Amino acid sequence: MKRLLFEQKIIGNNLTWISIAFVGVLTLLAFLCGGLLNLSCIGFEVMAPFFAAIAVGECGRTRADANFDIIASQGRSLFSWVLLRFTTVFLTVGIFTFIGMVIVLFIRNEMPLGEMVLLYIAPAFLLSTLCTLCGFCFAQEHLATMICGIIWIVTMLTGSLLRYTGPGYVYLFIRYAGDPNGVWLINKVILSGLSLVLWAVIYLLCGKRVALNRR
Amino acid sequence: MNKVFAIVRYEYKMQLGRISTWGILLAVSAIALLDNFPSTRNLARLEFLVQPAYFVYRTMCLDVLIISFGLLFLLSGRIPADNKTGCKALFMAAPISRSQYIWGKLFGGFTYTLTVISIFLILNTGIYAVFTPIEADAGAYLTPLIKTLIIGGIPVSFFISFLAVTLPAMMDIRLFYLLTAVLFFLNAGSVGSAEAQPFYLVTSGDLIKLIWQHPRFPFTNIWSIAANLTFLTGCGLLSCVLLIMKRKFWRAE
Repeated sequence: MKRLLFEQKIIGNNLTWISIAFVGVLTLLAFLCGGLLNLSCIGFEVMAPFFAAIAVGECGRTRADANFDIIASQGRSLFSWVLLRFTTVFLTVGIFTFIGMVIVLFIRNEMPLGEMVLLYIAPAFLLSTLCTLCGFCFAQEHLATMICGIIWIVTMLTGSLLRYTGPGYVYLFIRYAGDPNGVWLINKVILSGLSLVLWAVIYLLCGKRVALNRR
Repeated sequence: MNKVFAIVRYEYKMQLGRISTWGILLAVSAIALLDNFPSTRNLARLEFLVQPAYFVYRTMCLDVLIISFGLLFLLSGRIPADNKTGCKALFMAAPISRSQYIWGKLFGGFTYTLTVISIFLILNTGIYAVFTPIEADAGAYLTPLIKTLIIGGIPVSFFISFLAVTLPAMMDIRLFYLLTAVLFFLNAGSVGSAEAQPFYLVTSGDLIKLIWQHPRFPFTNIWSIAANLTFLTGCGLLSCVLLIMKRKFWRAE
C-alpha cells in the first residue's frame, strides 16, 4: 500500500484531474445525448478502455522512465515495479470510470451496473496491458499509446468482419458492434485470458532484462 | 526566414528518419491492401473497386484516417519534448523569436505529414495499378491521385500537424489524446452517405466527395464541402493563433 501511494505521488495530480474531466464529459453526455445513443456501451466499452490505455501509456511509463536502468539493475524486482505502476494507474482510472458508470446508470438506466463493469474491464485490461508491454519494449515516448490507438481505431473500422463467426470471439468492442452471434460473454473471457498471456510475456521480459543488467 | 527553414529542415529530417514513421506506414499499408487489394474476392465484394478513382477515394477515407491518428501521436510530443530535454531553453538563448520557433515546428510537422500521406497513397495506388486486372492508362491513376493529394492531403495534413504540434504545448498531452480520440471515434463511426455529412469529419467529409462520387447519387452541396474545408483549415489556424498569443509560452519579450 505504501509503495502504491509512492507511485501515486510520482504520477501526480494531472491524471486525477483528467479523470474527473472524463467523468464530467460522461455526465454531460448522459444528460444531452438522445435516446438513440447507447452511452453505457459506447462510453464504457469503447471510450473508457482507450482512456485507461492512454493513462497507462502516458503515466505508467516504464522503459521511457529516466530511472529505468537504475531500477532494472538495482531494484528488488523489476516485474513488481511494472505491475505496481500499472495497478496504480489502472486503479485510479478504474475508480473514476466506476463513478461515471454509477452516474450514467442513475441518469439513463440503460443496463445493470455489473454488465457495464463487465463491458469495461476486459477491453480496458487488454489495451492497458498491451500498452504496458509496448512501454516496456520501446524507450520512445508516446509509442505505446500510439500502437494501442492504432489497434483501437482499426478495431472500430473492422466491425464488418463480425459477419464471420471467428472474429467475434476476439473483437474488442463486441457489444458496440451489435454482437451478431451472441458471444459477448465468451469474448470477454477470451480477452481477459489474452491479457493474462501478455502479463506472462511481460514477466519473462522483465526476467531477461534483469539478467542482462546483472551480467 | 532562414531560421524558420533551419527548424523545418531539422524537424522534417528527424521525423522521417524515425523507425516508428516507417513502421506505421507499412502497418497501415498492409491493412489498406487487405481491404482494397484488387483480388477476385475484393473485386466481387466492392462494386466500384474496378475504378482507380474509387480505390484512391476509399484509401483516403478509411486508411488515411488510421495513418493520421498514428501521426498525431508521433507529432504531439514535439514541443513538450523540447521543454523536457531543455532544448527550449537553448532555442531561447539563440536569437530567434517565438513565431520563428512555432512556424518552424508547424511547417516541419506539416511537410512531414504531407510526405507520409503522399508516400502512402502513391505506394498503395502503385500496387493497385500493378495487380489490377482492369486495363487503364496512366492518367486514370494519376488524375485521382493528384486530386486526392491536393483536395484531401493538404487540408488533412494541415489539420493533423497544426493541432498535434500546438495543442500539447498548451494542455496536458493525455487530455489532448482523449479529445482527439473522441474526434476520431466519431470519424470511425460515421457511415458514408450521399447526403451532407457532418462538417467535423477529417478524412471522410464532404470535401473528399470531390474525388469520387457514387454514379447514382451525385453530391452537389457546395456549402457542406465548404464547411468541411473550413473546419479542417480553421481548427489548424485557430490552434496556431492560440499558441502564438499565449504569453507564457516563451520568454518575456
